[in-house]
Amino acid sequence: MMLAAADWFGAGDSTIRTALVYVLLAYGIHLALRTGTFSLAAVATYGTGAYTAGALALDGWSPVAAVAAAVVQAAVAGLVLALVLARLRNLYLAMATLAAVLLVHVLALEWESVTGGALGLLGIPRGVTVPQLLVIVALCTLAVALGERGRTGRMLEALRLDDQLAASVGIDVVRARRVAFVLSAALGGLAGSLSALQFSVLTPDEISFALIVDVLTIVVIGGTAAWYGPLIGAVALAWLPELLRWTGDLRPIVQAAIVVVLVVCAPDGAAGLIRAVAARLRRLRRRENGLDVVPAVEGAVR
Amino acid sequence: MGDYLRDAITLGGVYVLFSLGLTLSWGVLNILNLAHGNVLVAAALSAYLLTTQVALPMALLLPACMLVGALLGLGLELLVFRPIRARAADEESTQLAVLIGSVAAGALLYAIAERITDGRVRAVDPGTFTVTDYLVAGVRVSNLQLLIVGVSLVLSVLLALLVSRTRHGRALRAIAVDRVTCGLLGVPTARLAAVTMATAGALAGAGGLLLALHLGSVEASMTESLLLKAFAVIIIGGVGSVGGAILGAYLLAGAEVFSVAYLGSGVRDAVVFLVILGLLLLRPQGLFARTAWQRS
Repeated sequence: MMLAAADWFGAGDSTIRTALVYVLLAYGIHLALRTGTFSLAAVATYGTGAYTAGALALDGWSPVAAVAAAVVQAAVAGLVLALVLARLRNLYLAMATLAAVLLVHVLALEWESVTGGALGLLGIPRGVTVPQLLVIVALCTLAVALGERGRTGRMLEALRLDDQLAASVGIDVVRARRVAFVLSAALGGLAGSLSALQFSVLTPDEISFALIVDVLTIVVIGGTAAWYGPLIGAVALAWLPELLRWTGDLRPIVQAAIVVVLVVCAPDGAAGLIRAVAARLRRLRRRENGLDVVPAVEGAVR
Repeated sequence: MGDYLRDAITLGGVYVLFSLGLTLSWGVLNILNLAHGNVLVAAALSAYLLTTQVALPMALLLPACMLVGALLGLGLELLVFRPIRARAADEESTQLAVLIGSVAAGALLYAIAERITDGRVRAVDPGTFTVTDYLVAGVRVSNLQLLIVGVSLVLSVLLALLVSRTRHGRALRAIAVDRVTCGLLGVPTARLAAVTMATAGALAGAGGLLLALHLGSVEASMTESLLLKAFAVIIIGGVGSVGGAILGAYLLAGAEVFSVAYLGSGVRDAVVFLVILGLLLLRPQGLFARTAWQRS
C-alpha cells in the first residue's frame, strides 16, 4: 500500500517535471509563432542544449554553469541558423528547421565520443529540483507575458500580421525576427539542459519526431493567442495520459485523435477560447455602460 | 561499380515514389504534408496484413496498396486539410495550420500503426512473388529490383505526362499559381485538391509496398529518415517540379550509395544534410527550378 502510494507519487513527480520542461520548450515555439514564423529551431536546440548540459555535468561542471553553457550554446546555434536560413519563409523554414531537428538526432546517434551514441548519456548528476524548476518557469512565463504587453507586444502583433505593414511603421523586420529566433533557440536550449539535469539519462530517442509531435500538441491545445497558451497546453499534455487511462491500450490512438479533432475544430486552442470569451464579456460590459463602439476585430485572434 | 549503380537506381526508385507525392501536394496545394510518410507506412502495413491472410499476386497487391494510399490521402484532404483551409484567415496562416494538422494526423496514423505492429518490426512475405536473380551485363539483379525501378519509372512518367500534357495537369499548374483566381474562372479547385491528395497518397502507397518488399520488413517508425531524404530531393529538384524530383531522387540515391561505398556507412546521413544545407544556402529554389521560389 505504502509502496504503491510512493510509486504513484514518483510517477506524478516525473510528470510534473516533464510538464514544466515542456512549458519552456513550448514557449520557444510560441515565441517564433508570435512573430509569424513557424520554426522548430527550439526543438533542435532542446537537443543540443540537453547534450551540452549533460556532457558538461558528467565532466563535473556545476548545474548552474552547465545550464548557462547550454543556453549560450543554444543561442549561438540559433543565431547561426537564423543567418543561414534568413532567406527562407513559411513552409521552407518549417522544413529546414525540421531537418535541423533530425540532424541533431543523427548527430546524437553518430558522435559517440560526446553523446554516447545510441545508448546515450548515463548517470548525469541530478542538479535541478522541482522548486527551482518552478521558479525558472515562472520567470520565463513572466518574461513572455511582459513581452506581449505594450510596445513589444504591438510590435509582435504587427510582425505576425504583415511584414510590410510592420516595416512601414518603422519596425526593423529582419532584426526583430532574428532576435525572436535567437530567443526561441535559447529557450529551447534552457528546456533541454534542465531536462538533462533532471532525468539522469539522455538518449537520442528523446530528440526525434515524437518530441515535435508533443510540442505541437501543446501548441494546439493551448493555442498561441496569448502567453498562457503554452502553460495550459503543457499541463493538459501532462494530464492526458491520466485522463485517458480508461481507454487502456487504445490510449495513444485516442489521444492522437483528440489532437486531430482539436486542430480541425478549435484551431485557436484554449487561449483563443479564453480571449474570445473575455472579449465577449468586455463588449457586454461596455454595452451596459452605454459605450457601444466596439472595434470589429476585437477578440479575433488570427 | 555495377553493384553500386544497381543499388543507387533501386534506392532512387523508392525515393522517387515517396518524394513525388510530397512535392506534388506542396507545389500544387501549398501543403507540406508531414503525414505523407505515415501514409506510406499504412500502405506497407496493409500489404503485410494482406499477405498474411491470402497469397495475392503482385498484380493485385500493388493496386491494393495504391488504393489504400489514395484513400488515406483523400481522407486527409477531406477530413483535415479542407476544414482547416475553410477556417483560416490568410494564405500564410493556412499553410501553418495545415502543416500542424498534417503532423497531428500523422501522429494518429503512427499510433494506429504502432498498435497493429505491436511496436515491433514485422517481416513482410512477398507472397506469390518469388525473388529470383538475373545476370544483367555482369551485375546480379533481382526481379524485385527490376520491379521497383519499373514501377517508379512508369508511375513518374505517367505523372509527368499528366501534369504537362493534359487538361487536368494544366488546371493543376494553374492552381499552383493562383488558387482563388482559378476558382473564379470555373476551375473546380476543391475537387482537384482532393484528386491531387489521392494521387500523392497512391504514389506513397506504391512506394510503401516496394520499400517493404525491398527491406523485407515494415515498422511504424520507418518514415523519419525517408522524410528527410524527401526534403533533400525536393530541395534539389525544386518544389512542385516532377522532373526535378525524379532527377533529385536519383542524384541523392547515387550520392548516398557511392559515398557509403567509398567513405564508409557513417557518412550516409551526413551527405543528405550537406545537400540540404548547401542548397538552402546557395540555391534555395532548387537546381532545376525557375519559378518555384516565387511561391514561397
